[in-house]
Amino acid sequence: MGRKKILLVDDADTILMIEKMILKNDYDLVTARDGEEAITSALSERPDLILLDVVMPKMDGFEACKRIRQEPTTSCIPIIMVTTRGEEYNIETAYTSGCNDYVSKPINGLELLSKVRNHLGQ
Amino acid sequence: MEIDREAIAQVFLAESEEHLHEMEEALIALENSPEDQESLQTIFRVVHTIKGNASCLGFQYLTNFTHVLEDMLDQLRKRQIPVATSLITLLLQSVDALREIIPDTVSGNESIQPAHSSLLNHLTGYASPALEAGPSNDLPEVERVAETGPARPSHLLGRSGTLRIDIEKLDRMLTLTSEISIARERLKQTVGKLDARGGQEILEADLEVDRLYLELQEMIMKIRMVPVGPIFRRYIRTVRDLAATHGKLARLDIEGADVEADTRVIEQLTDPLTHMIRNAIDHGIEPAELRQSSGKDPCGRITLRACHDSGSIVIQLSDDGCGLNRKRILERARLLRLIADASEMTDQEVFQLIFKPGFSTSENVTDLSGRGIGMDVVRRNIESLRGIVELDSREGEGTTISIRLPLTLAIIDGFKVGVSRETYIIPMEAVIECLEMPEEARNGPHGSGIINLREQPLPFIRLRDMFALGSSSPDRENIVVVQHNDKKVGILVDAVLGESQAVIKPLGKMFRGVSGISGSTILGNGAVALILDVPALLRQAVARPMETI
Repeated sequence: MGRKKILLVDDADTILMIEKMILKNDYDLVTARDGEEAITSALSERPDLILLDVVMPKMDGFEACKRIRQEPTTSCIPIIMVTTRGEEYNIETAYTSGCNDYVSKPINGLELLSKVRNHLGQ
Repeated sequence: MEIDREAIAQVFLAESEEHLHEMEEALIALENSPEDQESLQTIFRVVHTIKGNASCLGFQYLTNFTHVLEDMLDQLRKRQIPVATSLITLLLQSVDALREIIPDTVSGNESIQPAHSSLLNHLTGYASPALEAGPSNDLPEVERVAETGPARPSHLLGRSGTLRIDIEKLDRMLTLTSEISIARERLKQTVGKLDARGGQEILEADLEVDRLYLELQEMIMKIRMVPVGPIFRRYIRTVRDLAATHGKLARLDIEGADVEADTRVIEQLTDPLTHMIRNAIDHGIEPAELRQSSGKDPCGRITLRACHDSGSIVIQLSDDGCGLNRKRILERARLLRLIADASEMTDQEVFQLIFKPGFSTSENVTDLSGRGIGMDVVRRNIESLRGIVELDSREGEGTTISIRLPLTLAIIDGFKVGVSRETYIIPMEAVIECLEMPEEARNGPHGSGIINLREQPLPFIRLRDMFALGSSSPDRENIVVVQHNDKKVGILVDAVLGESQAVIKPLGKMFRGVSGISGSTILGNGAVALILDVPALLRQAVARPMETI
């Protein structure tokens, strides 16, 4: 079986780089910089999982999550939201918009890896 | 899983710099139109992103600082506090503080500066509901208003589908193309010696290489081109803060933000532009009441625009202030003994006086522009980039300063001349004509003198003497007439060798002080040629005949 593909969505280079360092050994990675780009990439790249930031230009993560869910071809892709610690009130909104799970910044590498594996059935 | 913290920290540093510029711009946009939700969202997002990044990198103090900022912005977003100038100033000070805290933190110094914690207290106070009666106006003592103008352009290009490239690498690529050009020249000479039979195929291959080479060179030049917008936009803040310290109102409008120029050209523009903007606010824009009473918008308008014009980039700074005052300039010029009788001077000639060293009509040495550097320095800076400065002004209506620069500093069209065994390059744009040196004028003192060119005196300098090349002049010499800023000078050389494109290499540190030389290049045969600095030669040529009188 080939390597699984993950779409990383964040407007911050720093976070993208951290996520890449955590995941690059085990997965193929593609990136997007805002909510709109996330939807386009989800459609064209057909990733096996999406890591989605919340606060982004153009379209935020909640909205992007909803739209990805509404699109038949992408509706079943597992989505993990990346929120900020101390903003747990966001988590409810995240689940309402259709995500499967969340991790909080500061990102814990082992936690992220295990959640990703879990959702990919590995 | 390997986490390279050092690499992440570097990305964080570069990214934060971009974010802070974005925030700065959005803050000023918000100040101008407090209802602008998009600017407010941008400011909030930037702070949120920096906070998230800082927390992931374990930078505790920075996380706290941005957290307090974020709390305050949240209240602004919920309209619990109004967009007031004092608030914008406080937030701009926070941008300045973050510009210090972030690099310090990345380099491992997380100690807290008193100024920053006092700022943090103010932010907390501002955001606390106890202050609902209205924010206080006493701002913390951390105001360091635009001391040196905007930060130097970073060597990082923007994002959205673009790539960050180290400018040193681009410079190296360019150097490589010039080295390939030398190798090509040698190859061409060898191919030329081949006989017709074996030669044909090689000749064709050589032509193909030629084509590819030119294409490559063009691409590399294109990569170096960046839009002027990001640099221009940094002055929005400079204008706001400078006007405020001077008790005036002014805003900056930008036109032609998409116009592109060589990144090195743009980099060199920051100092002259900062100075010109200081001048415009200090001497140009009038106080608000004065403007109002003369029927102008109380808020002064400064416009920074860029456009392309026949192979050059033109950058203009206009203000709608009081314009240059002929009478005051003349008074000052008399005091400095720059002129004797001004009755026949045109306005343009009078305005040119402000480019004289030491000239300043400001009665009081002010914080803004009275630091002993004047327009003469601006002119010299621009001339060192092979550019020219023009000035136009109308009393009561304002002043426009135009800078015309070559699109790139990397390549020039040159005119090759030979003296003794050396070859020199004169920038083609300065060359007017070439003629044979008249026999009767050949014995000027100090290797220089004046000849009669169509009934006009033309000062000349003999390169052989100027660069102490020894040996005696040949029987026939040529004069290359060059012009700069309406002044002409003749450059006396042994031989005129024709046109050629030259990739400019900067001079090493040892030669920086050598007057009359602006750079070097490598010729097709592998030899080094020096590029002449025409404005500097002109200054010398004009100065010398005076000494001998």
